[in-house]
Amino acid sequence: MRLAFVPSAPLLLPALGGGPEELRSACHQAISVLGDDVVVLGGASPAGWRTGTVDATPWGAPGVAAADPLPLPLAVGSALLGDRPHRLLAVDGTAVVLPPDSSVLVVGDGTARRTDKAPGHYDPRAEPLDTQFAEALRDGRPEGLLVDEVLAAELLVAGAAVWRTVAATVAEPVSAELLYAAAPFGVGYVVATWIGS
Amino acid sequence: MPSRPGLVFRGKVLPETSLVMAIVNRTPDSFFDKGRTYSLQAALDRVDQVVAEGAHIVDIGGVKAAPGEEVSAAEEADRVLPVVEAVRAKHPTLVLSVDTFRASVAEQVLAAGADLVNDAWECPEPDTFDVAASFGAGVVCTHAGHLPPRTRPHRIAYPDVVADVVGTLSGLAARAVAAGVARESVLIDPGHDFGKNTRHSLLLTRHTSALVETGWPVLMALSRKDFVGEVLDLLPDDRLEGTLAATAVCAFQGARVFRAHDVAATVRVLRMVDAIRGIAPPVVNVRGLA
Repeated sequence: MRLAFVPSAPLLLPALGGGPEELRSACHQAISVLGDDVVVLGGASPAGWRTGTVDATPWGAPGVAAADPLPLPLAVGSALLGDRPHRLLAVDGTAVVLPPDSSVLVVGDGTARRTDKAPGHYDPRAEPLDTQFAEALRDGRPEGLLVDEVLAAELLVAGAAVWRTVAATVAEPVSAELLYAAAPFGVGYVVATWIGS
Repeated sequence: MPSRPGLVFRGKVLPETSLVMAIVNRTPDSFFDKGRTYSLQAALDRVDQVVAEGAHIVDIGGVKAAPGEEVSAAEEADRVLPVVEAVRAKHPTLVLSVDTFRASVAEQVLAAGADLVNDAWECPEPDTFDVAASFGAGVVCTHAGHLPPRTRPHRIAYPDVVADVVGTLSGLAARAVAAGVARESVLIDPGHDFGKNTRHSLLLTRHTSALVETGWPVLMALSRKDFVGEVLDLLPDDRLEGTLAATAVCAFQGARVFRAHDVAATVRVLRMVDAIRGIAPPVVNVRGLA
């Protein structure tokens, strides 16, 4: 199995500017390790396979609202993949069944309380938790992505559900690489790749 | 948002955003700068400054608009030509306009590389359009209340000033095109204060959309003018806020080019209005989206 991990920030959507260059290029580098027929995993309710449209109008982008907008993490994953064939799976933290040779794009991010100007204001517990996630991705340890649900809610961890699903579904990879870990806007973004889970 | 008419001057394509035409006067007596850029070096320094501030077009003038000392065509050319030559050499892609109502001056500056003839007086010399066409250059068609150049309005009245301006400018623009000026190289300017009292200028500001609906790109020359001064009872030095308010109102209705003394401030106002209209995205877009 090949996995790429990217954040679910709306600013990564091209219609909203696509985000800072360093982050965007890390995301594309991560995606480049994936094979054909990618499964995009994003935390959304209800769980299950989805089809729909990448629609940035709810965030103020120009255009007409789509009748079938995708949930944010699936929209970000789909937009990053562009024309590459992919399917979209909403997950709720429980394990899913994926073929062993799957290519999986995991869309989720860390806390949103890293700085005074962060969306959730500063919380001293945020950086240690984001460091835990970054080290788990760097070292290829799925269990390191697990986080207490109450703490995750308090620290606005948007990736908590999808990362629990990964921890419950994916074996330790043969190789892991952390491509990006920073919080330029007070939200913990991590970009990584796992090969051979 | 409907796409806006293209603007091209001698092959230089301008963006679809709202644009600033910076005023650079090689005059000793213009109403606001009062000779600050009369010397050649001061004028050239001013051009460098307004380019750095984001001007898309620079408009060089050698004769003040209001009545005053007579300036011959030869003297006018002596003032503006060296600026055109030096700026053309230093800023080859900048759209370079010259503010003149004389065809003979227009011909000399176009030969020296200017791109646009800004005639503020309803084209009193019909050859101007032919001259511009022969160089592939652009023209500004301005409503001046049918007055001769460098005169002030006295008890001027219109049955319908907006209709007069729309009719006059549509006719002038059609004449320019008939003379061979490219459609995308013609601007129309309602001529605030020119042949108008303050209420006329306010009406034209309020009804900018009527001018935009002609389909010709609209140039607005509002900067620190008397209609702003009378509304606020302020002298030219204190007319910036009033000018920028009028700028925003005109830009929101679709006026395209703004002739301005205060380039940096006007660039910011137009960027803000363009973003509000949805013509240009925010430069940064992170709030709430991280």
